Amino acid sequence: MHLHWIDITIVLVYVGGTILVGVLSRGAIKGISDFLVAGRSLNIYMAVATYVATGLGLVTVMYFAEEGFKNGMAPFLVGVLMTLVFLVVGKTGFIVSRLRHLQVMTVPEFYELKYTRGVRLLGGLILAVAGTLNMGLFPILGSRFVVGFTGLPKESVNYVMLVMVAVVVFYTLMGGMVSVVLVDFIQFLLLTVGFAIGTWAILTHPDLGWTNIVDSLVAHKGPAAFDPIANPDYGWIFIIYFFSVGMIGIVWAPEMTHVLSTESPRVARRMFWIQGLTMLGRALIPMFWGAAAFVWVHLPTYAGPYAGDGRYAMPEMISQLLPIGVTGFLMAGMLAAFMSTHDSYLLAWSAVIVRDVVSPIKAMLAGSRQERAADGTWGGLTGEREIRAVRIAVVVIACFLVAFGAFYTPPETSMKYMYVTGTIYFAGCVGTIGLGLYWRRANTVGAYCALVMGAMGPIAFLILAEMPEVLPAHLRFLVENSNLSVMASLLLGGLGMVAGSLVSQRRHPPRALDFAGME
Amino acid sequence: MNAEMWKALWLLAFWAACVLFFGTVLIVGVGGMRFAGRMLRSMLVETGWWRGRRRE
Repeated sequence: MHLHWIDITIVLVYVGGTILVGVLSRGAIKGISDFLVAGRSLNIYMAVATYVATGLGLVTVMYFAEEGFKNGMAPFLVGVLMTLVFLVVGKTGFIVSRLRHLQVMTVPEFYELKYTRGVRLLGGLILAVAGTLNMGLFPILGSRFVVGFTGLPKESVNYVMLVMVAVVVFYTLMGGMVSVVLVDFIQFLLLTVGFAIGTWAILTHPDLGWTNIVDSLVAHKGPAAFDPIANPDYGWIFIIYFFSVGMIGIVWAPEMTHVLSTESPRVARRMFWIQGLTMLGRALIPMFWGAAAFVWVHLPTYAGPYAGDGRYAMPEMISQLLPIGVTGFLMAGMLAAFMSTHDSYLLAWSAVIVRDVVSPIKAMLAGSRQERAADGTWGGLTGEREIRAVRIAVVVIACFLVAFGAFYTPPETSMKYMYVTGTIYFAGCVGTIGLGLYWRRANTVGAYCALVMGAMGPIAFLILAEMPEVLPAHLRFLVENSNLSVMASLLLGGLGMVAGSLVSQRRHPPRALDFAGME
Repeated sequence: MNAEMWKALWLLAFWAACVLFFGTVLIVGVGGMRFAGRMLRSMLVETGWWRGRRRE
């Protein structure tokens, strides 16, 4: 281990302070509404800060860096597309305004409002599966950063992961969304300073800098390091898929939880376009770090163990570029990023499992009426029981993540894995939410079709990628690259809603939603 | 587009990314400080760590 005691002290002070905030905020919880969405009291600055902090986890930094290590600057296009999506959504309010106007706490709650409790249950199940699988690589990516950065032996990665997850679970259980908001804000500031320091160090290092990095990428990777269309990992299908999934992907539960926390639909829109300005940096800066790490491990002076391993090379490089003190500061910022994402995601998926799976089942069994009560529940578990159940779910999910991270290896890069698992859910949302909010004929049958048809493609890809030999040789190209499967599933999600609704309009008339008076 | 054009585009994108990211963070950070301070004070009052008017 090559961290100085000053750096270790900085990290411990930060982690201790974070836990203290979690303990302090416990007394401020008043009911499930407060617990999950901070009582809808966030102003625009806090909303943007916590939104960025949630979306820019250490995980995001690691998987973007992995893309940069593998594909140079070609994946920069991903950042450009993400920025475009957020600016479009921010200016038009696509999906965001309408969902906020309806005052739902989770997206599957919208399903019960627009369709039936059964759609909410199926939607909640699919979302819970997609979200939990998606989060499966989060802790292991974070712990690889810590191992690469500190110089700990590679064999300790699973134990480091266990400790990191335990700390996050502790303060998540303490305060719910209230502690998440405050801690996220601090982490947002810390992470930004970390980004600035790391980027400056790379640009000013005599062996790195922009020109050296470009020249080295040209020498080792050729045009594919810059041209995303010619690069076989991307291409036109990926570009179309990525823009489309970006437009519907704004309903991703952990980030949508922050949107639903804003004062009004107008603030929700503003939040999107303001933080859309940060999307380019959130993608390009870590990718640039990854590309720099590739150049770093190919220098004649490099003697470390990570020459071919993009998952560890970037943190190792960064730790060697920075002086004592600054290293601790950056590590505190990166741990901050890890914790801010994990606590939001753990809460989001736990809320989905409890409110959108367990509670509807209980409500169905009890024969409760399908309407929202004063405490925000829907006839299943009471508010207090929901809070307790969410806390149990947080612990269960955390245990799953540790086991999954220790044993699973994804078929492509981590970033591609994130988008495949996310698409299990997004594909159905093209129909259920995209068309559900804007097409007056969207009905319950269409919703069921959209959910099932949309989920099939990505799930099939993940399973068949583990055993490609079961496919005939002429079909194996479908599992060599996920681009076709995920693009097809988005189309199926939309088609399922259209076809299912049109054939069943008379027997299942659609439920109208009221957007009169929407800001 | 040829390779040189892609390199120039990514150089421009990278600098735009840095300016937009750090510029937005600066504005949001300053704007959020006051709100965060109010939230923290409110939590300290609610939990009894600081004497002040409690919400009923």
